[in-house]
Amino acid sequence: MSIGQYIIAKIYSFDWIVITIVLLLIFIGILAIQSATLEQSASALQKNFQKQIIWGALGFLIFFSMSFLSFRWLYAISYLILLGGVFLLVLTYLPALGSGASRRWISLGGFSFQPSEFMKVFLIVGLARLLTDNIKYLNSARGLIPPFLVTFVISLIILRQPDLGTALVFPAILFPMLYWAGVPLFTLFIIIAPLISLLSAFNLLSFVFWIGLLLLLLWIARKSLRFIVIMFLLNISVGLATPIMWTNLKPYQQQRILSYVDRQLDPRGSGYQVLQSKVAIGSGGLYGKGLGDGTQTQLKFLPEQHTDFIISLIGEELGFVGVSIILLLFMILILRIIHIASNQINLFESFILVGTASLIIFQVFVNVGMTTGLIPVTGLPLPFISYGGSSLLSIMMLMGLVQSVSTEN
Amino acid sequence: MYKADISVSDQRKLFAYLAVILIFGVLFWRFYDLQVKHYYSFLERSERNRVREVMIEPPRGLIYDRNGILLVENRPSYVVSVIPWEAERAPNVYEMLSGYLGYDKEYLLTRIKRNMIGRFRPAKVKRSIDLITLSRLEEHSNEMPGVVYGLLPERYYPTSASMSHMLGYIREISDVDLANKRIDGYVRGDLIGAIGLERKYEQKLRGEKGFEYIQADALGRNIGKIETEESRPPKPGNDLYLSIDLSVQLEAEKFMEGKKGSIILLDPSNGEIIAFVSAPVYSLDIFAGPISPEDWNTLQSDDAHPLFNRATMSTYPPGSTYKLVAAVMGLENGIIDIERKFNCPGYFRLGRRVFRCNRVSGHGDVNIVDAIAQSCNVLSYKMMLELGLDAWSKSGENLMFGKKTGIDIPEESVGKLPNKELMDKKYGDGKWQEGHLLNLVIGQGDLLVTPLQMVNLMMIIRNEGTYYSPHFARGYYYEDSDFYEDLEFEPKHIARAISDETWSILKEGMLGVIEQERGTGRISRIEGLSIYGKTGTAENPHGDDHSWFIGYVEDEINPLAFVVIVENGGGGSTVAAPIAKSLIKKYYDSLLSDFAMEF
Repeated sequence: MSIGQYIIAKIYSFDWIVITIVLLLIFIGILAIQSATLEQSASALQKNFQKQIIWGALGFLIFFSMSFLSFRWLYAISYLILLGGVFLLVLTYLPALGSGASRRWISLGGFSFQPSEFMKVFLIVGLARLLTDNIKYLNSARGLIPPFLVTFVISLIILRQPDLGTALVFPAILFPMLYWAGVPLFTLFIIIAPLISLLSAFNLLSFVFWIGLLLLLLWIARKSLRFIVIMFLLNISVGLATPIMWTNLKPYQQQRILSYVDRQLDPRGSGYQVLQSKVAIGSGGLYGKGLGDGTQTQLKFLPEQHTDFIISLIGEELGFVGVSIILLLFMILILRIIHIASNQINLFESFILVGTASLIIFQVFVNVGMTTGLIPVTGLPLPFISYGGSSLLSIMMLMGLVQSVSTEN
Repeated sequence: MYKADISVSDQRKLFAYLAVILIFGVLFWRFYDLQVKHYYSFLERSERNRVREVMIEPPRGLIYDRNGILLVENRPSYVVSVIPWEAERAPNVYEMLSGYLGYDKEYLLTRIKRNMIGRFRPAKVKRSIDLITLSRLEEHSNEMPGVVYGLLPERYYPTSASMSHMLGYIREISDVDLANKRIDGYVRGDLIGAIGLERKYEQKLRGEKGFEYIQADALGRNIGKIETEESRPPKPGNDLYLSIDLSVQLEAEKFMEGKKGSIILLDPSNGEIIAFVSAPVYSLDIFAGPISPEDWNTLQSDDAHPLFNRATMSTYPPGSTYKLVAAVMGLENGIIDIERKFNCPGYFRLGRRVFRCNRVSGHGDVNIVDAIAQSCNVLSYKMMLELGLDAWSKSGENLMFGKKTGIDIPEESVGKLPNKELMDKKYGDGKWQEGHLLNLVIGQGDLLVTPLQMVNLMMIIRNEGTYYSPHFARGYYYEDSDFYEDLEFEPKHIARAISDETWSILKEGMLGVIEQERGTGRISRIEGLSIYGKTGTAENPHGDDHSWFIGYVEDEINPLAFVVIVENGGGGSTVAAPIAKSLIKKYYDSLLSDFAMEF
């Protein structure tokens, strides 16, 4: 078989559901970005629309070339990829390369990108290898510690940038992959428990409620008394230590932690942005006000309307119908990826697919959740749709891998 | 290990599918809740949420003369704008507004279309609104949502001088300028320098727009200001300081009243322009607001073309003034020197044709100095026939003809300096004849120059090869930082150096123009000043001769180079030279009075 025939055969076996959905989402994104930048006086912002088209085209090029990638080879270099990603992240702290007040970008010449976006891809590949290699030890500390350690270190580097939203993406990829690897749900719950204790300790009522729930679940799981007592003491002490640790922090340190949670996204305070976003979405109604006609969007009530808050614009201008189509497309895409992963015999490849699905679903949930006021604002782009080259290119890499797996079957 | 097989239980797979559906279910429910269930309450809120972006125009930089006299300032004026999205939601807004503004509705709509930035932002429709119109609009503001008005500083000229071609005017930005990538940060309806100094120094003069955000209710009434990160006060433009001397400028304009032509006076020691007239002038006041179609048509259809900048864009045959260039050619190529004399019988015979000298009885035996002073044609004819076109073209090129001088206004022509290529193209290869050459050498025929190039030549001769781009601007004043910046203009040198001897012969000839008994510019003689000059009478196929007088005044501290051309004025010595004399006097008198004031 010649190379030409090989390529044609490969294209014939492409998963057209995935390709169609990806194309549609990018197209909707470009439309929305054009509308978001319609009324901008600065021509620089209008160029965002043109730039996104270029990113889209480039994304498809990457998608296409990644779909020919050999997984055997990817498996072999996966740790190298992981290390390379961490190296890039550390580079953002170099004053010569990092740009902007927050250390999220690397600038080389006229070109700049966000390594944290690509780190998502690299971590998925790295974790897939780690879990594949340690599949037999995943019910013990020996198998669980390495993936947690890797994820934790990467999250910490990104948290320092500071970028809480992106930092949370990495554990959100890890847990579903562990689930897919067969780690018992209860084990995962026990691992998360101290973190919930820490967070809930800021409010006495929520803390008491949480500890009660924890005890109830431990009792239902019929754990030994010794285990229950240890868990109880551990979580209580974490909870009690939290206020003490907090008051011992210097005010500027407290401020720094608060700013991780709050970030720069809410300068006017009191949930102004979320409120504006909800008004925009709500006033869109069933069919929306029409592209370019959203008053909230066009009158600049909405901040970040071509990046993190793009779904508010779509909600206002295209209405519930428009939003539902987008959500439906995302849902079918994710279910399709899980379906491909389920039918996949190779463990490494199926881990990559599950990591990809988790990444997309987490970003969609957090992004849509924050713009509709379900969860606090953390600032994550909506995959395929939000403006941004790094985000689009990295997700297209993963889509290429999905394609490559599906054509192998 | 790569070959490890998957062992996920069907139960886990099923749970994964369900989790995905559940998560999306939550999101669907959330949008349903906001967009369908609570649609009306959010719609009402969005109606209340109406913000207007109000652009606050910065005052444009002021312009001063060399003595700090204000030449251009701003005065407040009102501008009416329309926010199309709001106006279109109420009935008959455009009908009412066009009535108040005295527009017909079609014209109002074209104005909106021309200046529209977006349907949610104000498009300027009329500038310079009078107070009566303004109060009518205010009275009916409730019936006309989306009609807003604001202050827009307008140019005002406090002096009686016109200075039209030098200062230029501002106008609404054109589509061509909007598409130009080099001028950034403009939107439709903005004002921009159209020509002259207003254009050249646009970036310094314009300042920075301010923005304010006003909350409006559903009827479009202002409720109050909103503080956002994007609101900021305007930044005034930088003031521009010119080298123009208003008193000399006024005098120069007065001399050109009723005439067509140009005057440029500049300081050859640095290239600073002291007076600049292109006559006829026009009044910049009519451009301060939007120019009325009648005014525009009058200016456009005037046979004298007042809008045209004659001083930098009109190209004329230089006549005898260009013999200086021929003299440089002859001296530098060594075919003549101070000793060599030519006999001028008053004509020159070439084959069967006779070329006349300007003195019918002839100049007798003349050397190069006398030939310049008395403007003898015959000597130039002979030199030209000996040296030919190439040497002549190169001499002109070296003295900056056929090129721009780099003056700091955008309007400038290069003129036309014939060379072999050009002559071949016009007359056919080698078909041009010696007769053509004889015409060229006395500044006629295909040679065309601008008055600016002639005054530049005076600067080059006075400084013996060194010159500066002629310029008006001396410096800027930065209002916000209270800082004055001097503009530096570097000296330039002509491409091929010319010998000291040639310079001194040229200067001797030019001095002779004024001082010799038979000098053609003797009328301009002023006791106590060393004036160097050259007259010219340029034949013009369309009418009477153009009258040229160019030259410079040597003075250690305040040298002055000048060009005066009066179109169809007749002889250079009788028309242009007396004007130059009066201006020179005026300039040195004004220096004296400044001097006196300082003590």
